[in-house]
Amino acid sequence: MSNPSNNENMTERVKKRKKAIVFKTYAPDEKTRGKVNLCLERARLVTESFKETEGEPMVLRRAKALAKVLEKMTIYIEDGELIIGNYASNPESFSFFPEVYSPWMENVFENEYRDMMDDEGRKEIKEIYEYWRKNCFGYKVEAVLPDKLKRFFAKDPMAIYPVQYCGSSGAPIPNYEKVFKVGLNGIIKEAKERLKAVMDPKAIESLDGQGLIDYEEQVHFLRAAIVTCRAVGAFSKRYADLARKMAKGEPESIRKKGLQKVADICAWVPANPCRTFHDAMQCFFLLHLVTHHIEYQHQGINVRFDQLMYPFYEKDLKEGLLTREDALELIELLWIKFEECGILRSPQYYTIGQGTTLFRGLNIGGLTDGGEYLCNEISFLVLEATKAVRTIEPSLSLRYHPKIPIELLYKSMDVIATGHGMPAIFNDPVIIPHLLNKGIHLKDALNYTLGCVTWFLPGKNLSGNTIRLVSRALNLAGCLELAFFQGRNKYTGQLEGLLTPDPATFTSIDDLMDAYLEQIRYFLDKLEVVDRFVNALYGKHFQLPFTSALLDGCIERAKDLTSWAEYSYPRAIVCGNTNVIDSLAATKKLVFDEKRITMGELIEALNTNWEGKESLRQQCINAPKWGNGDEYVDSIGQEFHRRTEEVFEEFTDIYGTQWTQGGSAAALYNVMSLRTGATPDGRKDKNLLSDAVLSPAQGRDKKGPTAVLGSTSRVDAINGFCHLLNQRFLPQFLRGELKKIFTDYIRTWSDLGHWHIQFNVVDSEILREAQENPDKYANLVVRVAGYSAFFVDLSEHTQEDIISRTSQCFA
Amino acid sequence: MKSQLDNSAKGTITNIQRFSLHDGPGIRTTVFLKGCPLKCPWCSNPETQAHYPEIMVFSSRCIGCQKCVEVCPNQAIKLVEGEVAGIDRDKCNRCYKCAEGCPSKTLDITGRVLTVAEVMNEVLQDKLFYINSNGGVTFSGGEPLAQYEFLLNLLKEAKTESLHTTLDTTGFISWELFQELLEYVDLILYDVKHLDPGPHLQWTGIDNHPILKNLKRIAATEKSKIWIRFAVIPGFNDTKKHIEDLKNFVAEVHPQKISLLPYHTWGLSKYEKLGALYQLQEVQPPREEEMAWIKGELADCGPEVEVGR
Repeated sequence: MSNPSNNENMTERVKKRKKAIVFKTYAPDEKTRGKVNLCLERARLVTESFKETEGEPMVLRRAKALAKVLEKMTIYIEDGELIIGNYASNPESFSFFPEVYSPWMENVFENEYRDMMDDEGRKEIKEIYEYWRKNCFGYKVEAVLPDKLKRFFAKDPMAIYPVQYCGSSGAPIPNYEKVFKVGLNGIIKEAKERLKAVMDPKAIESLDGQGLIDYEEQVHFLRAAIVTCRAVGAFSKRYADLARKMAKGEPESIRKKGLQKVADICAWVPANPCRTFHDAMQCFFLLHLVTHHIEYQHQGINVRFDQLMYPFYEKDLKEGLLTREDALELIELLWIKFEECGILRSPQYYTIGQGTTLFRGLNIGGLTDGGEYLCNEISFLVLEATKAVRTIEPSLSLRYHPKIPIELLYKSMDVIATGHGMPAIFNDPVIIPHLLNKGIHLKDALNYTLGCVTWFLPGKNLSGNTIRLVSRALNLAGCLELAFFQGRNKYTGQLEGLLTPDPATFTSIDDLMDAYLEQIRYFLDKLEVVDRFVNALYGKHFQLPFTSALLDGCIERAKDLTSWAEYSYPRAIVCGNTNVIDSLAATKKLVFDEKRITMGELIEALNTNWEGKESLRQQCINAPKWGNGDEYVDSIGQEFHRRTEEVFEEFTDIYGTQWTQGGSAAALYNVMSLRTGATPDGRKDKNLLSDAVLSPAQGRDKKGPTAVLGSTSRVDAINGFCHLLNQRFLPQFLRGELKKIFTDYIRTWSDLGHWHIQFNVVDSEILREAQENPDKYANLVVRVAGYSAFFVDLSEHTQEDIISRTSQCFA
Repeated sequence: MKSQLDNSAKGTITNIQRFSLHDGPGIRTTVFLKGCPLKCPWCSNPETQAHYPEIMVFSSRCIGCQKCVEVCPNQAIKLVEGEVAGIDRDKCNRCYKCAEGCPSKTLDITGRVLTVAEVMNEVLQDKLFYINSNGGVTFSGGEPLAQYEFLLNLLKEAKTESLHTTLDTTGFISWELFQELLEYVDLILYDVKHLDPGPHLQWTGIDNHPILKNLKRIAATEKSKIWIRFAVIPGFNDTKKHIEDLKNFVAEVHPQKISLLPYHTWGLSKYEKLGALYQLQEVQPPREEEMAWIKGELADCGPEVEVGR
């Protein structure tokens, strides 16, 4: 969006840093946002290290590889930085991870990403791949996977239908609070004591065979944890030395003072306990950098930032070490650091318009474990920083509870109204019981965070989100399509799903629902096995000793996070839910209830993408649609959600936890849309599926935002996890006297038992798009004097008037 | 003295607008009743004027299937290049067959005949929103009083459900009937067009004596129930003299609030869809300064004045 930033709230230093951001994205078309490169340094060092440590225990090899990277990689401090750290040798580059399994990378540097490196680089990357072909984690999985299951283990992100690989997800979140308190030295001490206890000859005496095998794993893990903690401490000292050296060359200036300060801080944290707010901010970023961008690449930040940072802020303020403005500047600089970090994705990923987001959720508000609502000055500073710098990262989430102070809600709405889409709002009164229902202890449930839109438990070893090489995504609309074609892909004729009965023989909508459920059961059955393989093999081949050291329980158990779980949360990301609901409703109405068409005609229309059947398609479009509070379709929707969830619950992970539908697909629908043919809701081949699991299909909700909640509240949010809901509003609804009403709307959203809501405030660009594509925006309501109207029904003259008025709101 | 509640009573409505934010306090549902005795040429909801269901033509939706042409008994469908461009309203006998058979809703009926129970069923879906926002239900039009029995039953049913009720009206009705109904009304959005009987009759076709008299009667006892709505129509009611009169009137009536609605032409496309002629082609919306001036003048007499958009 082309909204101007709020320059008044940025210092010169912040403005300079913001200007210097290189967005880590790569679009093969004209949208390229400046040159980005691939830095081979990390891959080179990891490969060297692995060659050196051949024959040693894997967890130690991985620890040593990390240590080598941190010792040898190029580090730099840029002009104006007060929060320090980098993951590639220069600000224009991505780093990469050959030890994982990214088959799409093998040829991409000869083709789409050719410009990211020179001939020498291309030669080196080939050599690196040569080593990893049979040493990478993916190979180790494939080596033992039965042939029939191989297609369910992601190779090419576009290859599997309707199952889809969707990228690395978040790692467990470090217990930052603990590191702030004891420093990495404290953790090293703990690990040493634990090692001493494990290796106590008396304790060994009592071990049986399995006990001794575990013993070996424990010793290696603890040693690996110590190696990595020391390495990270030393890594920070490298920055201290560099800053000191740079400061020496500077004349007396603000810059010199800044460098001296940075040198002092980096020499102290993260090895030692944080003393100040600035210490905590630097420690936080460095740990994030190592756990999320160097040890392995993960999405997410996923902390309660106001809870984490406030004690330091309060103390510094009291002691006169910091002003509110200083704190705001540091937060803004931190946001910019997040914005700079990128993860290289497949070309397909960029072409579907994902942008640069890494879904790095950062939370404010919510209940504390004392039952009070968390709100402090940092909560407000976070909102102010986001409003001022307008970075994409971090993605802000507000934990809502009726106890929320109205000032925090108003402030959040001010940020939403700028068209930034943040913060997204999450509902404690539903999410906490949901987590309790999943077996999470109350104290941990109260402390949940959102990473993007999925929940996390900071400091806890939550499995289900570790590396995710397996394609745990399921396109439900694709499954319905397969039910219409007896498991065959209509384009290729190949049997992709299960051979279900001929729909022409169906006598009621229940038969169609059953065939659909059989299709998803077929895919989940395969995915379950692959997922178990992958999860079990992580613990042997893909340990994360540093991240483990920062989690509760790993050192105590002397186990890497990949070999156990405090909690687990297996799920497959789903999409197309609403298209299935609307399709079932249209089929029920036109084929079975009113008998206006036969099933054969409908199948024929779907098969030919409605060719010559526009009149039939219009009838399908005008059948009842989800999101209008219409009982006919809402009851179908409720049953659909319940029964789909029941099928998911038939499957379990290696920890015995039942699967659930993952409702957090933010952009998966884009890819899946291209792979899904016409559906009976009137959708044409490859047209967009609904944009979130609960949202009405684009343009199909015509009774406004209260009616939408009437439909969506029919879905059980305590048991299920189909929770994403996007609502589109014009800024006029969030300002002036309507502000209060908007908070009432949010309160009712909460009362009706929803999980999530996100407001996409419509700007003039979207209105222009609506003029071009009226079909997609048929539901866009605007307030016209004296009445409200659908934007697309207005005359061009009136539309122009509204566009100019909307632009004013953003000015 | 009171008639029994009859929720099988039927009326004609054009729209049930959920999430209405400008027709009274809080989040509301506005029910638009069809039919109006006034014929204001600036009306932005022309589909609410006639008391019977009408067909609106949304040409851009037409897929050219010509089912309408097949079913029309009077050849009233006007085609351009194979697609529906309009209806010859003189030939049309309002059998509605074309709209019933139209798969793409190019021909769409405005005005559904619903029972009180059916209307309330939809209104009550948002009850929790009303409770949380101090909102409720608003009956508007057209002129809701024109379907008196239906409206009375709707209001009674709303009160049985403890909803806050708002009536958006011109108050053109006998005092006796109005009085009986007011018992069930918490707030009136009272439309004042012009204080001078001459221009009022000339432009709306209706004498304003009963309108103003009713307003004064209500104000005598229940000022807090009244918000005056004044649509500012350039050249009709925005003269210095009339604003001065209005000021005196407001000082006398003393409503809780005044909403000024600047004249706009945003309803124009609806005229085309109804095949009706828009007569005020020449009138321009009032300038912001003019609205500010009127607002300032009226605010001098005490009540809260807002400019709606």
